[in-house]
Amino acid sequence: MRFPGSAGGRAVFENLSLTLGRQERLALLGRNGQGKSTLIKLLGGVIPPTSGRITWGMRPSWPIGFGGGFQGSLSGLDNIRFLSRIYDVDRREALVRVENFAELGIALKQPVKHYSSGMRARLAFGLSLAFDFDCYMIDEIVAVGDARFQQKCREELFEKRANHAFIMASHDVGLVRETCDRAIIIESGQAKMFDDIDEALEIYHWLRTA
Amino acid sequence: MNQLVGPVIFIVPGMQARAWIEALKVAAARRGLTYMEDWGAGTDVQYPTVGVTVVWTEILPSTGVTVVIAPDEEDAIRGCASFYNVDTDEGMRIASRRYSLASVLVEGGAQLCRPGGSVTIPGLGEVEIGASALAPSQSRPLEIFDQLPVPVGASAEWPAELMWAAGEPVCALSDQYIDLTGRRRLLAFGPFIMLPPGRWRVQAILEVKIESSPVVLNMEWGVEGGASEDFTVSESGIYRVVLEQAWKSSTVPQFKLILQQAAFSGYLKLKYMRCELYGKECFHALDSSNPILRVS
Repeated sequence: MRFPGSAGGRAVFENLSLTLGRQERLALLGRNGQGKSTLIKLLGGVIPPTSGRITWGMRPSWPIGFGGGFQGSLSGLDNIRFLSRIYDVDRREALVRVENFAELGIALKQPVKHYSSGMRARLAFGLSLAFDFDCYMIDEIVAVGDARFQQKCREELFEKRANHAFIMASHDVGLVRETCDRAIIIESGQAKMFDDIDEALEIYHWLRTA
Repeated sequence: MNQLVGPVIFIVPGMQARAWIEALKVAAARRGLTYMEDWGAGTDVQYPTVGVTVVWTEILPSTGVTVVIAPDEEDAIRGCASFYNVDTDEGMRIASRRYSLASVLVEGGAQLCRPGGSVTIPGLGEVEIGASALAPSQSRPLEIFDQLPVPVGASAEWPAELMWAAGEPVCALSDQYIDLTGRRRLLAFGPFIMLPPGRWRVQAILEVKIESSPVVLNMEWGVEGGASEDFTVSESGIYRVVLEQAWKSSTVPQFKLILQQAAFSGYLKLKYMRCELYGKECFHALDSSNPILRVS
């Protein structure tokens, strides 16, 4: 994966190869700017890889909370209807799930472009969790919303979906230790897999402080 | 005896036994074969599996065996002592048993290889050890004792092969590079040579390859609570680290090389150490303005 620029751009990472099992929980660790979010977007189908191949044998989510796919002129409700059709999900069921989770009320009838960033995030999270995926892509779940909303997200992802796989980019060492089985650390264009989560966190801690 | 499927190798270990084992693993991997060792316990090997089997048990396989023996008797005795971690007398007894079993195997039609740098093993092809593993060590680790009492200035070069890493001699590691990736840990230690009283200086020459982030190493020398120095390596290169410690009675000092902080990447090769009696007085201060120096 390369970022565009002069001389062919900067490699975000090369020779990255990984296999993820069903129900497996993989952490993505790395300092800011190393490519965690890029990898989540690649795996979630938001951006294509420059080279290589991503093959899914299960149904992956888009990055949880990703709002880049919203049509701003449409209302929240219409966005829900549109995505329900694409993902072949009953729209009434999806609507109930999003309403229950996002708690946006009457605002769902307004165009998304008028939403505050918090409201967009709630809608995006609600939509992400309204569909049943086999593997969830999570990019810093704790970065959005107030404490109660974050707690709700955690319950939905890590408790109610305890038997699903996920790939989570996070700086939250406690959350990673609590929820993940393995970790990939991305640093200076290299990505390495660690089967021992504590070992990965120890290395990550040193990278952050070095 | 379980049925062995694939090349079976019986080794009379010499000083290069570990290098041969590494070379066999590489050759097996190149052919897509599983590498196995049969120690007779019945749990390490799952038969029938197509693979390369090194037989350490004294229950001999019947056919398809290649016997790889040490270059000479002295090498076999030293090799067995080192390989089985016993003294020379016991090494000689083990060597005699291995030679005796090898004789029976060769009489029964087994192919005999007395290795130079390479051997050809049926079903596996040519297997070779690196030139560095083959070259006889020119070092004399006990050169310090050429004169008695040991004079100030007496020194000896201690090759990396005398050191241990992760429970194995450093020489057993592939190409002698230690992968630094992982938790903070002891990388190398040894060489368990007793030295008389005095102020002893050790110089270690390290080659460090940095791939991304810096690595923090620590070197210790002496007895418990001895000299210790942390150093951060940010650039690949060859480094010299000097430490001193003094003791008042004969002791077995230890040299330890420690990865002081968890590392994401990097490789280290301990090239050699030089130990020198620097003074007869027994104080601890290091008489060197440059304990850590990049030499290239």
